[in-house]
Amino acid sequence: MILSLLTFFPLVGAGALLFIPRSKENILRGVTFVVSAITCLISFWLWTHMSAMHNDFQFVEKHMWVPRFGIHYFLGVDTLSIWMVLLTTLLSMIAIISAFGIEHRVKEFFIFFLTLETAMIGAFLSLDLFLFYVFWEMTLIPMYFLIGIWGGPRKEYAAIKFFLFTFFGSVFMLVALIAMYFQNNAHTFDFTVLVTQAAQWPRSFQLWIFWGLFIAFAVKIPAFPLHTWLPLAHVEAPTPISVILAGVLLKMGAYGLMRFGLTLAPMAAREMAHTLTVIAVINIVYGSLCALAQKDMKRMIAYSSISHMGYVLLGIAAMDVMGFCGAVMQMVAHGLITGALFLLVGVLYDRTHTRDMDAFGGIGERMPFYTGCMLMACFASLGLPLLAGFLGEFFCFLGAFQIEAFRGLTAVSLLGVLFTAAFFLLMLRRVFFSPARKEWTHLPDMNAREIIAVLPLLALALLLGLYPSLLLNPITQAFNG
Amino acid sequence: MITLAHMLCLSAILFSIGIYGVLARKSLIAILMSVELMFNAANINLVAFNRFLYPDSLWGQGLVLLVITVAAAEAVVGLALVIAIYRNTKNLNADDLHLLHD
Amino acid sequence: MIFTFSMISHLFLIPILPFAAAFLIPIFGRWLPQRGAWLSIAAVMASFIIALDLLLRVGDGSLLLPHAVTPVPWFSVGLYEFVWGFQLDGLSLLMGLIVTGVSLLIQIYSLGYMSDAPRLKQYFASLSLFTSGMLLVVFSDNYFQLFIGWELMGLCSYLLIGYDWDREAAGKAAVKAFLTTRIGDLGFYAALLTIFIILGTFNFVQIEERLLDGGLSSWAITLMALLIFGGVVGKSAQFPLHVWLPDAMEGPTPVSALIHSATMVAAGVYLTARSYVLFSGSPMAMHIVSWVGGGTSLMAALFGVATRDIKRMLAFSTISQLGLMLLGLGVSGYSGSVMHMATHAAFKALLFLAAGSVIHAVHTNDIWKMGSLSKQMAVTFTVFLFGALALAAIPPFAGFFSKDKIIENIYLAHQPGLLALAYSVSGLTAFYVFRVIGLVFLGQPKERDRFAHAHESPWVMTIPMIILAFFAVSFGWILSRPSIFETFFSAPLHHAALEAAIPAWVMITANSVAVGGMGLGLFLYTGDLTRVESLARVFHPIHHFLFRQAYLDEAYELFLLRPVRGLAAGLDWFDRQIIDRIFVDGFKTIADELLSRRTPEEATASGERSGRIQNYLMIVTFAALVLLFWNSH
Repeated sequence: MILSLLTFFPLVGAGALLFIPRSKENILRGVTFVVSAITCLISFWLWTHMSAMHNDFQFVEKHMWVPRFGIHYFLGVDTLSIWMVLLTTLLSMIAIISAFGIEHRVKEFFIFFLTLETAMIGAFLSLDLFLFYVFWEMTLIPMYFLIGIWGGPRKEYAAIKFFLFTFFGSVFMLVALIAMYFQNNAHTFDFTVLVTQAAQWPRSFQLWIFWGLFIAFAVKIPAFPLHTWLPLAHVEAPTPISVILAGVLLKMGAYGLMRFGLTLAPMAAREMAHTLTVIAVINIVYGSLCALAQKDMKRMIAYSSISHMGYVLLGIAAMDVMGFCGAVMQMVAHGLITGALFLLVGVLYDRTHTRDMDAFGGIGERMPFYTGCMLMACFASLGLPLLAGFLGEFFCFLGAFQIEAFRGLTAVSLLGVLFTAAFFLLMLRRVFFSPARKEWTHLPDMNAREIIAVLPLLALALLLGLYPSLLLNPITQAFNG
Repeated sequence: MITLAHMLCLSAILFSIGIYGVLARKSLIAILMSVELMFNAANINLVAFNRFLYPDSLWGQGLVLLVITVAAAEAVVGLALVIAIYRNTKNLNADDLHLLHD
Repeated sequence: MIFTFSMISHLFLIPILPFAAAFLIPIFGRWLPQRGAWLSIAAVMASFIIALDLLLRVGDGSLLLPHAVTPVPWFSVGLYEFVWGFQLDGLSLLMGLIVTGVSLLIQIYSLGYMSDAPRLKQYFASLSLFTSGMLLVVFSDNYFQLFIGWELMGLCSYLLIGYDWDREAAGKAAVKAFLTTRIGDLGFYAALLTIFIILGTFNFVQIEERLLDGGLSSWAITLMALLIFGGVVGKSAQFPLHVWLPDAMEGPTPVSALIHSATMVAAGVYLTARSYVLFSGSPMAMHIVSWVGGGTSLMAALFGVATRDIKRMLAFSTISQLGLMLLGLGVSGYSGSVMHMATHAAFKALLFLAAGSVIHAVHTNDIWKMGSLSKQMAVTFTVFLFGALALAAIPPFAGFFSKDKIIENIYLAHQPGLLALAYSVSGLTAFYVFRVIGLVFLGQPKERDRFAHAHESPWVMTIPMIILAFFAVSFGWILSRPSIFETFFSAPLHHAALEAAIPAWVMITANSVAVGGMGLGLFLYTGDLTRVESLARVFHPIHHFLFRQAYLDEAYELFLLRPVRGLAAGLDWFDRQIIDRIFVDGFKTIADELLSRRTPEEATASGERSGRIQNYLMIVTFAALVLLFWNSH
């Protein structure tokens, strides 16, 4: 029950919003916030009530949906999904707070947003492949509108590109799903059943399945060379959507790979591990180098996301405990930190309507609190120890390093650490720590709404950095499951 | 005697009229009506097959009910869209609606 | 003692107190006296007192070294458990005392020096965070934790160098410092990974045990040692990663005193000393350490001779002395190098503070604009003199004992080349520091107004200097006392019980070289400067080369920075034009090409791409009919 409640409560909230008149914007905002806050609390409750001993899925709900095709309504949570769900609900709530600044067509925005939240949570909780696919696709439509209506100058192009690119990938996943349906003798989409049979499937079949799934996930992660939709989407999307995009949607790809990709085609996954590592290393180094060349702050952070998700992919490709722990840690850390970064860039953009680094200077003087937050977010992102990002990166590296064949590649990817530091510091210097420009003499520092949105993320980044057991102990146990 | 052939002819004629309407009419509402016509042509076909080929089964008529429901839903959506278009452009001429091209 | 800490577990308080202060100051600083400065000072003073207490306990025998504290579990991944572990041994206690003591003095000094600076909260918070980071490095019992403190120091160094960001040079210097040390840190990072793979643990004691058990290929040991050395080269500013330290002088002088002379840069030397067992296992690594150290030492000393900025002289001097310490470690001279690290902390911090005092008074760093300041600033002059004598290793000042120990060790290692290097460096060191004394404090003032306005610094600044001067004078002697020497400087593995006889000429040469350098420096640069001017004309090309630091900065710009920037821009172009166009717009273009060869406008006119649904539907219907009839055959 609780999982269905968690998944569909935002949708119910969206339904409730339909009845509120368009003009009562504050009521709309309030209701949306309350809905997301309750969802967040439910997920938190779920987290605290999950049994640490259990390695399997908990709070399972399984009902027949379409018996003819073996499709079930099957939800379940385990230690991996709960963290993804927590991240989703938290970031959604924060994005909603940040979205209080939207003035244009408020009602539609929040309806789409809550629908998106349902889809995201559903995707993380589904254990039936068909259901997973439904939720996966369900995220595309609200995103299309959210980018296409409330975005920047090239919003339509960005929205269409995002939609088509992701859809293109999903088609491959659909084929893989259907193939698996026919292959298994129970003729079902039930994940728990498929997993038990997957090991016996013939090698070539597994390879096809793996690539079908992987292409879909690779677009989302985003993995080179299917990553070009991301910079555009981030630049054109409004700030709250960027936060959700970077914080949650990217993780769906990585989650899908971990949950389904590796388990349903184990032989293929092991064979392809080297390829995955190569792709990961390219992501890391190429992403950070491209970020170095950017002038637009949001585009720079988008490329840094590509780089950071490369670490996640590296950890997943290692396929050992450390790698997985690193990958999950990095997923959560990246979601929090990059979410904070986008919010912070949004703060500046709201005031100045430009994101061009060369246009700024001396912001440190004018907005000290903001500078402090940005400093913390940037250093968290470049992997300063005692903040969450470091541990994620470190264990992804360590996991990959343990595999002999990957050592050279992992060593190369260390360069990413250097380049990441370079572009963040250069950005900080150009925008904040340089002689002041007279255009920016009257910029106000962060207001309450912005502070409330950013501070929890930074605080959590620090908390997880200092006390990672919260995250790591359960994952270590789950890995054995 | 009315045979299967008669019914099939009828439904074929209706279907063709429907296709003609969809492809050649200028007014959006006329297009929608033609689509309805096509649905009903298919329904006639189903009932005919049910009556003449499988008299003991109910599947055909059951499917007809499904089709009617779907057609109704689709008509609702279609009309809603037509109304939205009208509100925005005050024009229901199909030839003037080519925003997809940009 | 007032405090009744009876548990050694209070060891972990030493790094934690300044860490806590670093967080409290930005939050509550507004309401605190001096905007949080006193909180910072209180925290570090408390840490110092605890360290002192530990020292006294060791002294009266109630505490035996080495002593490990029960680790606090932190988190575990897989089968390995990460802990917060602290250890107390001679090396860490010594460094702990020095770090807290010097930090305390410098923070007090800062009250005076920075009294009119903005953003004091940030300043003191960063100083506190830095202190806690260094203490974490010094007291950690495993590499992972050490790395954490290491990186924290890097952060604070960045924040503090770039403190005065209204000056573009400061911002650039901060970025340069962080990125250059990051390059070195990549080596350290790789070392962490490698050590874990090969040795299975990060803990120092366990690593030493495994190394002593044997069975590891020398290749593996060399690799680990060299990777660690990468981090050392970065942090301790050795060639080729030394370029950040001279520029780091853009930071406020107390920062230079603390971070870039006494503590952070010494962390590299500390790390090497801490990894002594590892390094000893690889003769090649030791060789590289000593030659890199020695070479850097000489290079920096030469740069120091040519510079005109008083802080840069001290920066080069630091690089040079650190090189000397590494040289000593490389020849298995543990005791000399560690002792020199300690004495250097004292006298170099002193020299920086005194330089700061001078700069505060005359508002310039350029030694050619000063002169005869001994008359206006007697205290500063005296302490600077003591510091210089210690640096030049003139007996009986502090540097004499430690540097001579290093030279002894070099001799015992039978390395004539390195010995000659060490002598040259000694001579040059004495020469350049007394050159500065001559130009700054003695002789005639070069600019009358500056001279007229110069006055002695307030007591907040002079008292710390005087305390440090006391150490500059006596520290060497104190540390040479047998019991103290035993406690702090006995090498791991009890290496080099080499008490072979050192021929007298070794020491005599060392001392005469130093005295000679001092004399030459004073002779040339005091009073009448015509002698120098004629020499300058002769040596001009060399001088210019050294002044520009052998054009290394330019070389880096040309061969490293520009290619990387170019690569980044190139990849960005590649991403936008090629991948994007291929994968995305490419499909569209292909589709267009396949379907028709007409341009969009023509296609519209002919009704094919009209955008009208009915047209599209016609095509669909037609296609469906075709398929239908085709299949039915």
